[in-house]
Amino acid sequence: MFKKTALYRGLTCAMAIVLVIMVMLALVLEENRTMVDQTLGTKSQLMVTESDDGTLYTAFTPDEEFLTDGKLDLEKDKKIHKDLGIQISEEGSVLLKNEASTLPLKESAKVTLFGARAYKSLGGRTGGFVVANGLKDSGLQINTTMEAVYSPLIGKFSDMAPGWASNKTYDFKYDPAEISPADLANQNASYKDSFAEYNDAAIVVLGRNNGEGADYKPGLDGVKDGVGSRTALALSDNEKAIVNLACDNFSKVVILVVGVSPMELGELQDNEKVGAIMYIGFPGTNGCEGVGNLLQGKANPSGGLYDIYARNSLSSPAMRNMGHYELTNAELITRKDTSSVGTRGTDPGFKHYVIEAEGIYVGYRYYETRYFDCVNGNASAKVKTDSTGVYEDSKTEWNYAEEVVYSFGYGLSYTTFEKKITGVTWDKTAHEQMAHVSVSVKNTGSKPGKTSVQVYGQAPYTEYDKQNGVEKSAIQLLNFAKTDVIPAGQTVNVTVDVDLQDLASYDENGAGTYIMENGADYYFSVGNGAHDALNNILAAMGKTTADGMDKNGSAAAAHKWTYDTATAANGVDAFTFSLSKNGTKIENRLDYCNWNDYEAGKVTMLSRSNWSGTFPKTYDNMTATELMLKHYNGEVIDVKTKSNPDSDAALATVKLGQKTDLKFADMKNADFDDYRWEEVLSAMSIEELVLYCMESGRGFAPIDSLNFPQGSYAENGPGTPAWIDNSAGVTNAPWAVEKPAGSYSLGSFPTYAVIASSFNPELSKRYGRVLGNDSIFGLKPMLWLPGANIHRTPYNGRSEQYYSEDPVLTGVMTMEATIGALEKGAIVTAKHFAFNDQEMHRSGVGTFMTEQRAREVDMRAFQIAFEANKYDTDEKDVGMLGVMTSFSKLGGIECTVNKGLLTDVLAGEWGFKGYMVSDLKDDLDLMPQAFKAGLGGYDWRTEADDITPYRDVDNFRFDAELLECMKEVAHQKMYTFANSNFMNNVNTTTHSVWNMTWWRAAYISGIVISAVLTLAALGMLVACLIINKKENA
Amino acid sequence: MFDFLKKVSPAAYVFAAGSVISLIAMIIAAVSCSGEGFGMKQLPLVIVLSVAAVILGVAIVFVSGKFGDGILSTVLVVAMTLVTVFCVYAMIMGKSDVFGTVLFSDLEKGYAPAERACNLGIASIIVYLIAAVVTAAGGFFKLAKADK
Repeated sequence: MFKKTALYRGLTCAMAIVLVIMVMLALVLEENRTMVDQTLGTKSQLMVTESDDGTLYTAFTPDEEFLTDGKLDLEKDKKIHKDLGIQISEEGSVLLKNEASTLPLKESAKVTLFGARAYKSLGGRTGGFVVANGLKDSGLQINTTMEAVYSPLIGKFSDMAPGWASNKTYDFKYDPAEISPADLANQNASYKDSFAEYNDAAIVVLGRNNGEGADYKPGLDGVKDGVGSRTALALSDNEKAIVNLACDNFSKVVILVVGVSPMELGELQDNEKVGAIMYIGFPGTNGCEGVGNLLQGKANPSGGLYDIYARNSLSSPAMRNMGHYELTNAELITRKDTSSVGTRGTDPGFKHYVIEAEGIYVGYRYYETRYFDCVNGNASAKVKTDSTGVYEDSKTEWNYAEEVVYSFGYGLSYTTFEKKITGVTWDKTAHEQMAHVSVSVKNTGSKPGKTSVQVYGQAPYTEYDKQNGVEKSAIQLLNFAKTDVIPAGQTVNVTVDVDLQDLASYDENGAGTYIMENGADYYFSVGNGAHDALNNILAAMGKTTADGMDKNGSAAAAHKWTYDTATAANGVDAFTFSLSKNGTKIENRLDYCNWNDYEAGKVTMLSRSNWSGTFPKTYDNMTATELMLKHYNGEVIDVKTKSNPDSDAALATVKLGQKTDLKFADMKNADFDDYRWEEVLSAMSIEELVLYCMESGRGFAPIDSLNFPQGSYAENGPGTPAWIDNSAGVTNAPWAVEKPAGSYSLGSFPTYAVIASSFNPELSKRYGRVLGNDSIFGLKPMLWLPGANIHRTPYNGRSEQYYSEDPVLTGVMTMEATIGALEKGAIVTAKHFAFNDQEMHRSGVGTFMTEQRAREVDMRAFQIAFEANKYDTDEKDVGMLGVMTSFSKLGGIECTVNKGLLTDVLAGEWGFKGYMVSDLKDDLDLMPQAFKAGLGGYDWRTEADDITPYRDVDNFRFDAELLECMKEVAHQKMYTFANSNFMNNVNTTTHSVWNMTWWRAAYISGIVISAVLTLAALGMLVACLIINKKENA
Repeated sequence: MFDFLKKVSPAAYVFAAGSVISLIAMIIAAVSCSGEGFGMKQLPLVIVLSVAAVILGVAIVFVSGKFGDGILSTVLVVAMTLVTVFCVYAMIMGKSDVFGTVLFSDLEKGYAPAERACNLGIASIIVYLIAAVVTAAGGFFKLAKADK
């Protein structure tokens, strides 16, 4: 019997382990059920509709091109995605150099590919692709010997992502790896013998990776020792050796540049043996075939650069303050976010800051404005005092040609174009001051081709501006269009509409609003990129190379426009642009965005009035003021609490839990101001209100009193993904496929920088519309994309998720994608509003800047998309329905609780009506304040555990104003859904029910079986012990 | 002491090993939570349970040596098993977020501190599981040498 005691004891322990593991498994699965469902293609909750009243599937219907016999045709869908991916790459790849007609190659040319990135799967989370495969698909014949040589080597090759981030990686050193000629020879000593057969051209693929959560580290310190690169974005010794190998063995050498962070391409541009350079970005699943088409002349390049490419990636003023700066009195910041996620949570981003002392001079605006001032005799522009410490910066005179390799917007074609401005008219509609710029475009070459019409502007830099600290870029993109294919020799006329607010300047110190200057000369210009357009303005001013220009411009491509209005006082018109499109007064709203708001005169912002004297220094070792510490600690908006409540009378004014016969579905297509909303919102219980406001990530909370069904309605888009993820559980739509598609990936589109480089708004709209259709098929009405932040520096690792350094290019592309998706009822949620200018300490880094900079650069991209002025009609105010806030602070105040940003500007001035979600679990500790500031919800990854500390209604119920704000938040969220394709799937009888998924059934069975066995073993053990005791007695 | 050890069955050493393994798992768990931003609110619970497992392991050795293989030692064995397996539970719950962001999304894939927290968390869970299995296995043996 003794032995049996041991047996049952062991069995009891073993079964207890199994039982506990099964219970644990159950808890983990349930707490992560949204992710589990998405991963396994199951549905934990189903939307059930008791009876069809005829309103189902009528809100938005998919386009016919996706359907066969009324149902989704997956093959058609794939082809639509593929064709669009190819077209985006054809129009968005940028031909930067093409000497001696290196390109195009003949069709089906036999080429030799060099570079590990030609064969390695690239693109990561934004969608994998292999350049070689795409080129083969396009018909190019690839050197098979070299493919075989590279094949075993690329397994060891790491296309390292930028890794300079918070916590333990301050000493990150990037390895600009490349497989060397010696490596190739070791693999196959006679590999060069294969060149003779594949000698139509050598194609060398170079590039840099990008990724979320980390940046490149600037300077020598950020590069692996011994690789020969001066910066992470400069060529390494191995990369140069591969280029030289190609140059030494081929008469035609083509460089393809992969990535988004602008590399230092000066050496390649200067290398006479390199015949052609083409930027291809991250082409996504299908785009490389488009690149191949370009190389063979099956398509004609028409893209222009999304960012300026500097010779020295460190030379812009923004690079002086980028990265890791901790407040000297950081120990006084006591705020802790209880989230356990690393790059958020207790990340020391709470203690960090970055001074964006470059002001409005981001990207090309800096280089071009300084060039303009050099030509115009501004002595301070010529004085080079800004050594970057890495390059030989011994020269004392600033010279544009030594600074810039390729300007913003620049791109070549296989044909040539002549562009002239033929007229400008001014449309003075109230609050919507528009200029219509007419441009004639003549194809002066021998091949048909498309081209972009980039309209730039220049505002005069006057004495008033100098006195009031108003900065003006000598050139800025105002809008753009893309022609159709123009046959050789033919001319087309294009009219580009310009919102004159983009030409006006934000005068935060003087008028406190946008101004234009009466009687002053403004210029419009077109050209092949910003530099060409600026040269055309200089030509219109009578300047030539004799004045220091690097090339004579064309005065016919520029147009002088003297601003003449009756509303100006003392030469400054501070009225015409002081009202937003919806009539709201525009005034200084962004309190404490500038360090100088806390501590006057502490920071010197770059001013063209004195380039050399104001060129930013690095602001390290800054000490927070008392008020700034308060803001960093999250004390921004007062909230009444249990210990300090509002009066009962005040709280009683907030209507909740009222009876109503209305259901959420009754509000289908309701206007934002529909009188019924108040009745709907007042029907919610306080518990429903709290949960509905806070739980809004991958899963949305139910409102049982209104039959708002719980579910997972949002899809995150780190890049440009395409998918059909039918996780909402409704499969009886007219267009549903027989078997639900589950998680059906359609790959990825070329990344945003490529879309931006196409300068084709219609293409971006088409992208949005395709996603909108997918949204209907996949029952995901909410898409968390695109990224509308700007590329402040080349070193931001996350620039792959954003379009450009230019806010107008970013804004227009975002707007078009939004409208395209919105036409199919998809809620596009642009991110990250705003100021996600670096990944280092992104979880809360304080970004300090002037309000002019904030409005004219970072926020303008969002403004264009939100106002969607182009699409508004008298009957309907069309605009983006969603936005995701950023992790960053503006100044010392978190964006999530920045009332000036969210309520006053976004909702007030821009008229945003929709759903604002935080980025992943950001600022949970500030939730009541955030609701007061206008935030609409939080992105949760898990269903239960992290919500628990925050869902207590006592956190909210003692502040009447807060409760009203939360009702407004719920209003915005419901309005958003009510006007989306979400309404396809609900009517007044729709509600959510739990579903027994296979994994749920499995763990329940496991728990029952293991519990029975545990109890049985335990029973036997007890019996044995009793028997033993009796026997011993 | 020597006489005491002579009375202890070989199974006692299995429990002692279980205690040591739990201790190792606890150290790994603590290290996995040491990165700034990767703390775990369940860590104190894990430490308490681990210490309890160690104490229970020692108690099993002591009780079985002194009182033989009886009800008390059996209860201690079951308790040690449960305590150890609850450490696994606490670790999984505490680390679920970082597992999600590293393993099931690209959010922090490639981010060294997150991957370290994730990998060490997994290691800790595995070691705790080994401790639980070792403890359960010890239950199959006699806890005291039969009196001669």
